[in-house]
Amino acid sequence: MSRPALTAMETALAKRAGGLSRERAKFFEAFAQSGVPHRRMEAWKWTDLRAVLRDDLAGAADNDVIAPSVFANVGPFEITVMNGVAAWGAAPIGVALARADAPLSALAADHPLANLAAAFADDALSIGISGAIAQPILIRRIAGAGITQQRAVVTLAPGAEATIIESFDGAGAFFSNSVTEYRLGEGAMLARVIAQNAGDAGIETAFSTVTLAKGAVIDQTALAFGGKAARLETRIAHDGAGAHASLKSAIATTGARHADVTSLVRHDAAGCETRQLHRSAVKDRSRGVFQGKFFVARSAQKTDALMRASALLLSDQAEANHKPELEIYADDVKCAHGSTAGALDPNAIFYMRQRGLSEHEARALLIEAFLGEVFDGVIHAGLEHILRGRVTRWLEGA
Amino acid sequence: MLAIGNLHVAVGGHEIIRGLTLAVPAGEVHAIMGPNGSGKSTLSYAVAGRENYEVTAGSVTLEGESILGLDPSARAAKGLFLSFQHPMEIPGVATMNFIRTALNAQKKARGEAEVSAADFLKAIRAKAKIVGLSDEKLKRPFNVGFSGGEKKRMEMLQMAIFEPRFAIMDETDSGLDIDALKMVGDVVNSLRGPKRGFLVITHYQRLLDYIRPDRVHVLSKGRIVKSGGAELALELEKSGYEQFEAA
Repeated sequence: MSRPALTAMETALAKRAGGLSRERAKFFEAFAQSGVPHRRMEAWKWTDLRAVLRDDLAGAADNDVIAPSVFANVGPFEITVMNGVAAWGAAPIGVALARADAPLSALAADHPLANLAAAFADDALSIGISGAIAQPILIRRIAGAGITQQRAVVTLAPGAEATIIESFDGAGAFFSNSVTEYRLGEGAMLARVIAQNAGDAGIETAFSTVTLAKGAVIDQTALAFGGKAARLETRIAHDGAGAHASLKSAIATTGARHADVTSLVRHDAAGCETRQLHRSAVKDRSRGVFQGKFFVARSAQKTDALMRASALLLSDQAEANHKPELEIYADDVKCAHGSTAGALDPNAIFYMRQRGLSEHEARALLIEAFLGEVFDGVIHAGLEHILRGRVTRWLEGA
Repeated sequence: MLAIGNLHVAVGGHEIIRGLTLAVPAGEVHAIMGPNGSGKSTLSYAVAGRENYEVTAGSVTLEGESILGLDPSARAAKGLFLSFQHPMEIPGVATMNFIRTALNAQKKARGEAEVSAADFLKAIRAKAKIVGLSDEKLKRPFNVGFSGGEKKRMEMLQMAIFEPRFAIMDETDSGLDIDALKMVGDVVNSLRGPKRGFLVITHYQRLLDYIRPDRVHVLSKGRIVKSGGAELALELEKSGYEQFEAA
């Protein structure tokens, strides 16, 4: 008789947890309280991880050959994380790498998947950055078959500046789960680019936190092609006055894929600014989920936060679920959100066809334009070019 | 050049064009005038191949070849250009990229060599000057934030770039001031030639002060009810369309 895979997985995890250090056992206990997130949990109602983790997953296998990253063109310092195991070469001056466990930050402590990753990560990475690092840093996560758990803590010293690319790729049926915690010191600046593609059978959950000290700046751009299920989740905390966060994300899905972009931005200090833009383009029977929440504490006066999300439905069976949320306790703030959904404009398509474009070309150009706004103003021009190129290739294949 | 024979067009099951026959020989400019609702825009959309404009009977040929079975882009590649009454705004699509992509798509379909970025830039800058669009406007997303007049200038810019064999201009004059009307006249007159035809659809006679038509046709209730020379437009300006409404 076949047992539900989830039970099998939880049993296996619990068995492995017996061998964990005391510190890690605590992470596992925190995870075990809720287990794998499911649709009866409000934050997971559209991404039912438990439902897709029914299938049993064989142990991780090393990929034989690793092709160069699509981000190789910007000449990054690459940290390759293959099935959870990290490897890197000589780090640029100002970048220090080590393997070390640490308690989860307050933003991550209640998240079941953050605890799961912290409990089982093969390599818990600690990356320290000081000064202005010109060379982009690529954290390249590749998953093969099986289950992999990954963790990284990235600390930017006061005034540090860095561009960090995180790519999440994989092939076959895998479950790759990670937690990445960023801590930005006073006046630090981080340009973060996330690119995710789990294939048709892979499951990717990438959870991250960003704490911003006074005057710190994060500029985050994410592109998700989804997977059997994929979720990019970001929690940001404006801890110091005058911090700035820009969050831009695009979902592009086809077939039966599922992509989820979820975020929470906490405004706990005065005079902080947040700008968020999300676009979903969903084809076939695929599904795009966007959940964005701004929290403004009573102390966070003069918060200026704006969220815009829109979805482009490219077939009758495609689905987009958007949930923008504001929770505001301060009275002197500027906060707004807007969410729209629609199809391609047939008038625009006819206009373009009259000018000589085929229907396919006209649609592709419109979809590219729709998603393209997310990549306007990516700090690194080379990265903007690569992200746009990935969308173009997606359109050619779609 | 463009020959329309006994054309019937229905939109949403409603017959709008009801047996229209019209021939514009190469080298000529014909004007179609008519009141609101006479079917002027329906005619232009049906000839351009818009979906939901169902041709229920009749023929449309361009240089003797039927175009009715063709996709709109194939009609464009054959040299048919429609200047829209209400041109679209296309957010996020860079103007020059769009026009060059369209031009090269047409050229490719005709088996011609594509135009290089440098040659294209030179051509579009020169032509933008003629239609009165600044470099800054060319750098914007297509038509986004443009005034009605600027959008019409963008239509004329594309007509000048594509150099179509046959152009239908659907109320290009609406919303234009005198200077812009003169510009439209200049663009059309510069393109006029023995191998090219125009069909100018308009409410008013005033555009025809700048583009002297070889023939003027009156459209009413989906049919041509009167045809004449350029003087017919002046006559209509005085007498109005009412006399044809009963037809």
